[in-house]
Amino acid sequence: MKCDRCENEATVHEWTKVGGEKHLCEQCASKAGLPVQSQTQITQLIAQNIASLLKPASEPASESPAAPGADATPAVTVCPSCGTALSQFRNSGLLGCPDCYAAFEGQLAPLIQRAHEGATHHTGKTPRSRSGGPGAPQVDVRAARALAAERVKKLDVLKKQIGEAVAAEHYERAAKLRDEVRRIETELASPDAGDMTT
Amino acid sequence: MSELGTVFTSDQVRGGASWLRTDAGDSDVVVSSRVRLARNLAGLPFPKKASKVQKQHAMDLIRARLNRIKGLGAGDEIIGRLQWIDVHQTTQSDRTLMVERHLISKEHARGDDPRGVAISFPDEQVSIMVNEEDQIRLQVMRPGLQLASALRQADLIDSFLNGVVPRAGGAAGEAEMDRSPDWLNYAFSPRFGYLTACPTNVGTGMRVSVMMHLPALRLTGEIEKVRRATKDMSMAVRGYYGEGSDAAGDFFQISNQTTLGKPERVILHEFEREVLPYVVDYERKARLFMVQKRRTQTEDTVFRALGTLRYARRITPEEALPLLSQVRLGILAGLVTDVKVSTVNQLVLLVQPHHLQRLLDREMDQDARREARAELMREWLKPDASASA
Repeated sequence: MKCDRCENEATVHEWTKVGGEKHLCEQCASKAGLPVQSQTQITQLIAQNIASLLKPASEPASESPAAPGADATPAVTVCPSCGTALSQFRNSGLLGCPDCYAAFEGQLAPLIQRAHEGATHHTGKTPRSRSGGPGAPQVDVRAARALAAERVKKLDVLKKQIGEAVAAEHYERAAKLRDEVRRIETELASPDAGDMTT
Repeated sequence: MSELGTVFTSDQVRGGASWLRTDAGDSDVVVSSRVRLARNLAGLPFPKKASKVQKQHAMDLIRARLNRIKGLGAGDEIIGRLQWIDVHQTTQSDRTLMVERHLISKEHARGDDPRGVAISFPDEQVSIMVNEEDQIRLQVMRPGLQLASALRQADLIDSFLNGVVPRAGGAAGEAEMDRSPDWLNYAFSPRFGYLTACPTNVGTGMRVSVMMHLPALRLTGEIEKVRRATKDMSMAVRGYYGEGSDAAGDFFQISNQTTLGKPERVILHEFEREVLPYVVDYERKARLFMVQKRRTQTEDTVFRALGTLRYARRITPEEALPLLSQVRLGILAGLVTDVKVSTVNQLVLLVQPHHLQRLLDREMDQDARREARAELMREWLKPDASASA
């Protein structure tokens, strides 16, 4: 069935006693203010929690009750294990790897709480785990997190130095610094960062 | 073997799907039940982020473990061997056919990176997608309202994959650790539970859903109340083909929205005892109302639908589905007596383009399909053939 307003397939349907039937695609339904099903649930949640997800790397994540050390460590915007950036999650609604939950815990916790009607902790089945206690993380998340935070900090410093070098017309030095920035950015963004298969 | 694909034969398609049987509880309203668990392996990125090599690696690990399933469980619920299908290597026709049969999702049918599905043939009630949004999407389907049975089986398979197996010679429910080293180490956090690519699935990773046939609520305009009520109870109402799909032919899928904070059994209990009975009851009352208070109007709708299906010479799925829905209502309301509900249930599957082509074992253009579909309706709904299937 076609959408009443455009050529897309209609996936949202509304029946009213007075107005009859409406058949719209998700985009047109959102525009018309109709409730759209869970395909967009995550997108809506992200929009509602944009404040916590937009926290800059230099600010501590205040909504992170389970991470008391968060005040000392800057909030991470890139997962140290898989290189997924928080901005990528904002766009797709999908995280990159299990470690993203630890890396972005402060930013994700309010969103998860909202998505699950106020629930903050799992109860129910727990799996057998290879590394001792159930679900012990496979990499030292805290260490990896600190490392990534350090890299992000270093990027800021390097970028500042590039500006200074250019201003002082030290172009060779600026080029070297730029190469260093690129190297770190690639490390942070690579899906194989940390080689999780081994 | 058909050139269209090798996963299904024409006979298999003709035989229908066992989860559409009509001998189970409440099957007048609840067509089928489904429990789905989402799982990922620790130490590997989720499929969307994984490289081809990582996807293949995850798939090899999962497949090796799946391969060891044989005769798991007991009695009617025993799970025999699962058949593995490399989805990325199957024909487009096979993939779409599996989507139409609810064995894989539309998303899983797309793309050529390593991806697969393990299916319990011949009943097709268990299907385990590998490398969908999560590495493992395990689903168990049942005819009628049988969520507890579906959860039992899903739980058993899940535990087996995770290296927890029923104790040999032990009582039901007794388990022990599997000594063989190939069990799967799941990604899990004590706080967020089973970790999934999308945070809306964390916790139990469990989605319970039922496919309901609600023609009377739709015809009386009450369906919007159900939508609102279920939404208030954090349930999602979706179409026949799941997320983002059309509520074709008044078949609605209702499922839980939240997966974190409650144990599996509690989620299931609330869904089954506190939500569904009201919807089932509401639909039955609406059917009664239609037959008692608006009899002629209802008969008119039902018999026009049956007439069209019995005599049309060309028909699209979009036209056929609502008509089949009205005929199904007519049978259950006692107005139509020479057609079986099971026949209608199977026709709902068979009207879909790839089912039709596989049934007749030939590729057809749209016009040819419309004619073939109309012929199929005439053959299966013949006035004197009450039990054609």
